[in-house]
Amino acid sequence: MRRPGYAGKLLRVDLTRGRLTVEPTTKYADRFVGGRGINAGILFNELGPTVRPLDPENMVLFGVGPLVGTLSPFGSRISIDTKNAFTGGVGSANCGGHFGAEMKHAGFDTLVFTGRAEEPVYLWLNEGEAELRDAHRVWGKTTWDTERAIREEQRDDEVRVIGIGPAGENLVKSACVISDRSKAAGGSGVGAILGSKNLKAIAARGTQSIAIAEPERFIKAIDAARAKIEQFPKAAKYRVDGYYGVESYYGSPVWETGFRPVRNGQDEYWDPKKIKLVSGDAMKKYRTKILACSSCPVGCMPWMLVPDGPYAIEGEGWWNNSSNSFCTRVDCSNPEAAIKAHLRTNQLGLDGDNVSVVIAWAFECYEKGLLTKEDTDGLELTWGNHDAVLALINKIAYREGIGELLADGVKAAAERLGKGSEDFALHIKGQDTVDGVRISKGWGFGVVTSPAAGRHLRGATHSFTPEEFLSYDGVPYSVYMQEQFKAIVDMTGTCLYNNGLLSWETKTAPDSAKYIAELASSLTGMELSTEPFMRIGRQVNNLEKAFNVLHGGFGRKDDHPPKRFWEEPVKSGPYKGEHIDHETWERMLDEYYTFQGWDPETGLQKESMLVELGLPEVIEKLGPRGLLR
Amino acid sequence: MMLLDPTRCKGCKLCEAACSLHHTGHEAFNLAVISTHVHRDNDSGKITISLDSTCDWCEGEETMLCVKYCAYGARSVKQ
Repeated sequence: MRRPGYAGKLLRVDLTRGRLTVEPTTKYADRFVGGRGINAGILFNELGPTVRPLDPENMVLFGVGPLVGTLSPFGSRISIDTKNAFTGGVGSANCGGHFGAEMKHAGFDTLVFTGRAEEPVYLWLNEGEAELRDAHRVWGKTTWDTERAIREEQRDDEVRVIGIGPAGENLVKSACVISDRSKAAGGSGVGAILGSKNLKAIAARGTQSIAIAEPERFIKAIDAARAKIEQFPKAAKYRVDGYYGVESYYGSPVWETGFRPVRNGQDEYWDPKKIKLVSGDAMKKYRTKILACSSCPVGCMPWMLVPDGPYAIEGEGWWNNSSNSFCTRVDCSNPEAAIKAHLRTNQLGLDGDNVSVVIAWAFECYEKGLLTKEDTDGLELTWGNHDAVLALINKIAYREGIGELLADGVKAAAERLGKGSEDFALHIKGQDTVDGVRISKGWGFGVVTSPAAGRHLRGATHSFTPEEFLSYDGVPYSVYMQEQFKAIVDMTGTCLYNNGLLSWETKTAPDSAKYIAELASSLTGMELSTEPFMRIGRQVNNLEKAFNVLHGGFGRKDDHPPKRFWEEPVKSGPYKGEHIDHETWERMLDEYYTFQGWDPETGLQKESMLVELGLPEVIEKLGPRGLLR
Repeated sequence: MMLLDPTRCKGCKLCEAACSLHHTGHEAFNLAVISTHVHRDNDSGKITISLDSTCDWCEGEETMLCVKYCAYGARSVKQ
């Protein structure tokens, strides 16, 4: 029987044979709820460690959680999990938009792709039915043109499309999956994985029913969550002014506190005159309206318009990270060029977070004379040259000229170039990392230890005062709890950003878990009170950890930050001199591993912890290989 | 009468979910039975809202659910 809160179907797509099979979602939801949870369970249990990321045998899973496509606030997210194209460890990305809700209304909770189609295809999900369709017509097209063409083919402007652009087709490591033309599921090279499978896109349309287990209780839970959001003092202002998502994390400052590394992380402080040119206020000039993902009562995504000139473009998107990727990181303060860069990466299907890292590395190589105009197709990669940034974005997506060197990520590029460029190649576990980690220690420790390799949507914790930013106190426990909480966010399909508005008073993000737990329990009929829910979150994190050990060979050494952040202090601004203290970092790792039940010496999981946590499959797979303690 | 203001609407479609809640007797979310639709043009970002003749003004509810759950003031009722 179909469980309330779910569409009911898990679809397996064997692209090699063109075979589609359906299983009940319930088979997996009992244990791992949905979204990233179900994805992680299947990925760990079914994928062999010798499979390489771009092999046909690799799997890529798309999953939405129970709260997606309902009246529950901010249930919009879709999780995409696979073997990471950068690291060979776990790959995990997610995004908002409207595709997730439409996929569920079309009748599907989870999609599991294996194999490689002989010719380009897209998957069409419609009213409980699924079929693979010819994608020759859209192969080579941008994500925007692909959406247009599929909607035309289906003669329906309400069709939602998620898929790849030319970058994914060309197996560029920083290729992402784009939903609704603007929402990027970035990191892990998920776009390249789809490209390797000749899978251009998934399109969905439907009006299938999603039942509610306890309607009265569910509505009460929705009203409680909505009321809590409205109590946030800046909720109304953010909703109208659009600062939310652009200028602030619930009031936490972002410009001077290392969230935006400067010139490839040489510094973490930027000239205030330049900040003024691309700040939230400056960008208002180009914002014609603010849009929302499905079911979001806040809405943070601006519609940007550069009406004329060399950077003329129009589309949805400008985000906190954009001013890192296309401004501070490359020292560019031309707002129109930055907007163009952001929207161009969406068109090409590139993750701005990833690709800007290798671009900034190339700029620094040029600064140091390690790359010259002869190597760069005549481009002058000087800090502030926004035209060169735009040119490199295109070259990387199509692997043209110097783009070929940069298309496999910063670690591979530095290994090929050598000459000491490895020292400022900013990657963690092999994946390009966008974040500065020297000032905010909680943020930095979460980014560096993330199983998804240098990403900030897992253990990274927010801080709100200068003292909190710099303090190491309590960081390991906070990151440990954040990881469990964020698994709940991803399993239910909710937006992490808005979860912060359910816990703004205590500033302890897991406090919002009680709201999410009540919403999910009353919708599905599964009793998911906070504590057992956090335990499932811990299980999911441990599956990903085990995947990293088994597939990626990662251990304690891989939970260290890039060399630059160990050795070079912040050069200017209020946090001048700040760096990561090596000894303290090691002590934090000891403490963090102890909370996790992992062996401090090696970072490997302890068998006793896995028994208590209920993950026999990890013991079965890692034990005989000597990968447990 | 219902006043719809698409310039305030952000396209979240919470109104559609609320509408389906009413039309299914609070049992499900089923967009096959809704009376209001929100459409976003992805070329221009322009939003349109429509209301059809199946709207029964949320008969039996304490308040009109699409108005209650709209966070953006895009819907209101004029007596």
